[in-house]
Amino acid sequence: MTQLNFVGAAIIFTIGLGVVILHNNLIRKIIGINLMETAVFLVFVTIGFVADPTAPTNPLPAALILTGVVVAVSITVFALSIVVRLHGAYGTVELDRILALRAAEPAEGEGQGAGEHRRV
Amino acid sequence: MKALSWRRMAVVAALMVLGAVLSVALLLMPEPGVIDHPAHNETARRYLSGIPRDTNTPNIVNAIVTDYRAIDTLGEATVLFVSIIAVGTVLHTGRRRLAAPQRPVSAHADRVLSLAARLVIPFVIVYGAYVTVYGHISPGGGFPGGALLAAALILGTLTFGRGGIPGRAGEGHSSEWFESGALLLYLTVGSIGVWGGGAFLSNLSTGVPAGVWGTVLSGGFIPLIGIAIGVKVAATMVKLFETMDAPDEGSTE
Repeated sequence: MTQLNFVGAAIIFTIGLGVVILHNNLIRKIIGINLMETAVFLVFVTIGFVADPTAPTNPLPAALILTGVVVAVSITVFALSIVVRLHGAYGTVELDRILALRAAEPAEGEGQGAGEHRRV
Repeated sequence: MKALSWRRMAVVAALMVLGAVLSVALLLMPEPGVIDHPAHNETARRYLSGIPRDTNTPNIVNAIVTDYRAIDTLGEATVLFVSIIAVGTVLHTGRRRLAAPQRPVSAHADRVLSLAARLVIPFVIVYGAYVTVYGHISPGGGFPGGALLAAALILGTLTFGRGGIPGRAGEGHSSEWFESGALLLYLTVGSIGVWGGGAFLSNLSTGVPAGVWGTVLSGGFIPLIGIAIGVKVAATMVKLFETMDAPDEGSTE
């Protein structure tokens, strides 16, 4: 029965990957990455589970996942800060609009800092 | 537009195949929950049988994080430190820094929000402190406790604005002080083990009093390290929030 957790983790991972690939909004992509991380955590914690109520649960996966959670927080906040920066430079968090603006901007605009390219 | 939707459908189909492959691969792994699962190996058994004796605390996971693998946890605290540096580097590029965006008071004056925040924040802070301090004898620890404390402080800042929390200084750098202080506390506690003749961050083996089983003062240095982690995590989250809340000139709208 606990193997259902594995199927759930595979579904959550796939949904997260789908959000990363299919959505255009950068913040949604970051949420998709978080979904994928959550699926990996679910697999780990499921492995540590022991059905026998008299036996203690395996503590190693929980201790390892603690590190994973901290890294997930760090990655998320770093990605979000890059999105803040992109929003300041291009006025949008939609990836296709950012790419279009980047393709349209003149080449000599380079080196003046992202804040100079502001367009809405 | 037609081609784009075809592409989307192809991606969705590929994802479904991937999900099925992942499910099958995971289901082919040893069934979880059984007692002779390969993950329940001698390392796990060693921790389960050794931790009550070696650390005098019942919370096995917390004992792994703060005693056996305390130096790895120090590395984890460094990960938090590096994330602050990275976010600060991305958001503050040396330009003139704008004053923190002072949201008009009316934006914070939502009656329901401010009343609910006033009701909730004290309890969240007390619970966060409890989870941190009692982490070694009950479910919890420095990481969840610190996250709770940070959630309360960030909720307060979001509701009442910067400097709007009663009794809190406005443009302070208290999060930086708390952050550095927590890391210094961690390193100091680790050095006491060296002074006592053991390795860095060694605990009961160097003759630290073990305390009474099941009370706050048990497990030698573990409560101190838990408090250091809790303060560190809370200060890091608040600092990250403040950094993202007040970006440079170039990144405001």
